[in-house]
Amino acid sequence: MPRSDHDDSRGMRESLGEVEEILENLGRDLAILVAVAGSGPIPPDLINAIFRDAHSLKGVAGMLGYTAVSTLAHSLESLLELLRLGKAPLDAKMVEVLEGGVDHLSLLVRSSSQRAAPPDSTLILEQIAACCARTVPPPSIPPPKPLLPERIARSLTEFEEHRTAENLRQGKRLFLLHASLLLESFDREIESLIDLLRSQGEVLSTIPSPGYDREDGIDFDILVGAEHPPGLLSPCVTCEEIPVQRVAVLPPSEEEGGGSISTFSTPPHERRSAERSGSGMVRVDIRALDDLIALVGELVAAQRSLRYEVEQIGAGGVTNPVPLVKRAERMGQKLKELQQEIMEIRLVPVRTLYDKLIRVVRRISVDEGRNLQLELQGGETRLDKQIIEDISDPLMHLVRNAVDHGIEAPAERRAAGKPETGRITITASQKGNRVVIEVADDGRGIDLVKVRRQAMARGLLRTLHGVTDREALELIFEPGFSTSDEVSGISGRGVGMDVVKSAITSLSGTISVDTEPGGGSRIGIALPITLAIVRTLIIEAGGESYGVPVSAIQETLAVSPEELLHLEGNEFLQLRELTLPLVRLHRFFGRNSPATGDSFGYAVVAVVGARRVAILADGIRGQHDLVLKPLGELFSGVRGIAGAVELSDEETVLVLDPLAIMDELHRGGDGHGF
Amino acid sequence: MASDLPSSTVITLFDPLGVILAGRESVRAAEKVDASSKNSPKEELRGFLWFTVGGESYAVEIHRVKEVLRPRRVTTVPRSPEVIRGIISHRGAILAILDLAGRLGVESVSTSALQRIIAVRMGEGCCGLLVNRVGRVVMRPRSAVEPPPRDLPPGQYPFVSGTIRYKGAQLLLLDLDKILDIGGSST
Repeated sequence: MPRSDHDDSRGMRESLGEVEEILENLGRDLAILVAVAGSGPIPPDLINAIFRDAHSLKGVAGMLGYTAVSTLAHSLESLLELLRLGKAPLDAKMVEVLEGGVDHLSLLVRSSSQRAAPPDSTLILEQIAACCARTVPPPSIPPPKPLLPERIARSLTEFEEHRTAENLRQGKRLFLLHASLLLESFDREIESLIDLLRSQGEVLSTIPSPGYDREDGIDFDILVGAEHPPGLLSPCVTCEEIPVQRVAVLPPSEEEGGGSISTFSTPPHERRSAERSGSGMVRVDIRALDDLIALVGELVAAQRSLRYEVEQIGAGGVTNPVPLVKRAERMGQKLKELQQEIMEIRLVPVRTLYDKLIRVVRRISVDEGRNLQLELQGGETRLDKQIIEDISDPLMHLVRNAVDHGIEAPAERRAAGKPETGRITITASQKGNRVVIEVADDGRGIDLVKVRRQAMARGLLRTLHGVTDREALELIFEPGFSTSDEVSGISGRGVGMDVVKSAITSLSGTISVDTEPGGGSRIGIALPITLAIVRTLIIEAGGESYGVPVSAIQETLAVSPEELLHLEGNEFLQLRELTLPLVRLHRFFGRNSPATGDSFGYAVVAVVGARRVAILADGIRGQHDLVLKPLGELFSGVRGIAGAVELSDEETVLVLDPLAIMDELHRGGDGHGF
Repeated sequence: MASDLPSSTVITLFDPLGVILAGRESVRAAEKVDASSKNSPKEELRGFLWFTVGGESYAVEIHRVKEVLRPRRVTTVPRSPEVIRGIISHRGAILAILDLAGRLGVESVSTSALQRIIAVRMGEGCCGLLVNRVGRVVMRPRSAVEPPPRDLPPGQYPFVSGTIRYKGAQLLLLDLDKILDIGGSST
């Protein structure tokens, strides 16, 4: 459907996209900060980045009129300012408040994008204020000012002064560099110079001054804190033809063996072709667009040669169809490539989900006082943006479940001979055209005896006899099932595995569980890489064509009337040891029975989770990769149909929704939409 | 009244937008002479697309019209309201095809080569109205829209918001929002 061209809503969406992007950066940087906290000095660049994120968020949100977001961002900014200046320590309390603040920001932004009333921020604002009030006096170290030339000392900002003092405190020395650059090229040169210096120490301040030597020049004083003189600082050494003079080395007092140079390596920064934002917008790498444009160029050329061949035929004379077929095939090939490339743009790395999970697990460990270790693998695996968004909550719930029901208390773990720290491992990997995400814990595993007893108590089982372990395990996905005797603060209240399962199923995914008593559990989710393009089997039934998503097909087989069972007016297909409900589509949909309605041919066995249904087909027309399109609001009441695909210019085919069909059969088949 | 359409204005070209725009231009030129004598020359003219369904002449405001399409094979959708013929794919989206004759309770004239689908804007998307034939774009000032006639068949009352006159013919102006509000009035 064409998008609304309304400028306001579009501009709003873009701005919201920007807010979400900043928030995403903020979350990621904070996760890194938390990860490095407690292991040596905090990288100042990182705190600065977080401070800047909060600052820009305040600005953008203020501009958009998201007062609640801007107020909270402002308050976080004040706290970060204290942290940045070393006036507040980076301790557990600080981490908790910062994470709480960022989480609350996400909630606020989400409510804005859904035009819902913003959640109340009073509590978090109070916590931030309380944290700000804990200001510690800066450690008593000699102020660096007397060491520095007055011209420099006067120009330092409070933050730069703090960092300078901090470097001295760590036993580092200060180096003052002077660089003379040309006005026309200084911006690039100063950048590369600073990059170079950063690899050897901390660039504390860069102070410009008018060029002393030439009219078209500009000079910079650069203050660097480092343990050893950077290689660059030998007298008269030039770096890429930038003249740098060593002006002064300012040794701190006599003490030796101070702290090491504070280095911080940023996480592998790979180019992403697209990044997620909940506003329905995708940022696209310009190179991906270039590829698309190149492909479209090829298509135009292919079309031109196709047209040429057609004209030749039109002019008579040419009767050989081979060149025409070849051109058409080439064009088809290019179109397929185009489809592939565009699909690629929708894919984003699973990593975008991981930052959130890190925060959740940290929060749980702090709140519950539990030792947890979260291991994340395969963050580079890519999935459709829409699926990433929809999988976020279920995944969060699985992690909470693992902590709540899986990981034992430290004493219990010790008694079982396990390390006290419980481990949760999340792995994402691509398997063919599916992405598998596994959530594994090394906890106590699922107690199948307890599961059976619980299922009896909830009326999900009539007897304990003859229920295999595998069947018992499947029971945890039943609605209303919960094995926790008491609901704790961190488990999703009232939300069970059945909700997780239905969320996964609605994404054409499957969920499975494995457990080992005492050894832990492993939940596996298999998802299609994208929902945009669906491999579809086209079948004919009752004189109409239908599409069936191949992802939902277990097998297709030839059947004859003798293989059907008739029970209480319903038909079933006996397939090996399974008895499957059989669907004749024209009857199911209440369509007029065509003359050929009851002929036989094939049964398409669709499977969703543990449920199966056999769909009777007169003929099979083949598989195609097609774009599944929704039917639109006029058909909102139509059950059993997932959408439609365009098979050719003249043919649009309805695609079945096997799950809805199974649901309706399950309910007794009285489900006419209107 | 279908025969009232002068044959010269029957659309035979496929480029619907071009035809609509051309119609708009020629009408505008004609109206200038016409209108200057009757109406205030300053009043802004509005476009209405004239079409017929079941022998009756109707019009919709041109700004709601996105395209005029030739009929094509419609895929019927089970369990959908009766007045919906089905769906077609058009420009990468699904277009629901509404049987306007059924909706208005008039007898549909059998399919002919003149049948067209008028794609109209509906919310974020589009919907196609199946009509017997499409006439031209008529330009009229807002003040030329008269109240609906009293002798309308009862079934059409909710859908007709006014009438406009064109060369002796009376065009019933349809309220598209009510026409397209299928959920509320069908069972």
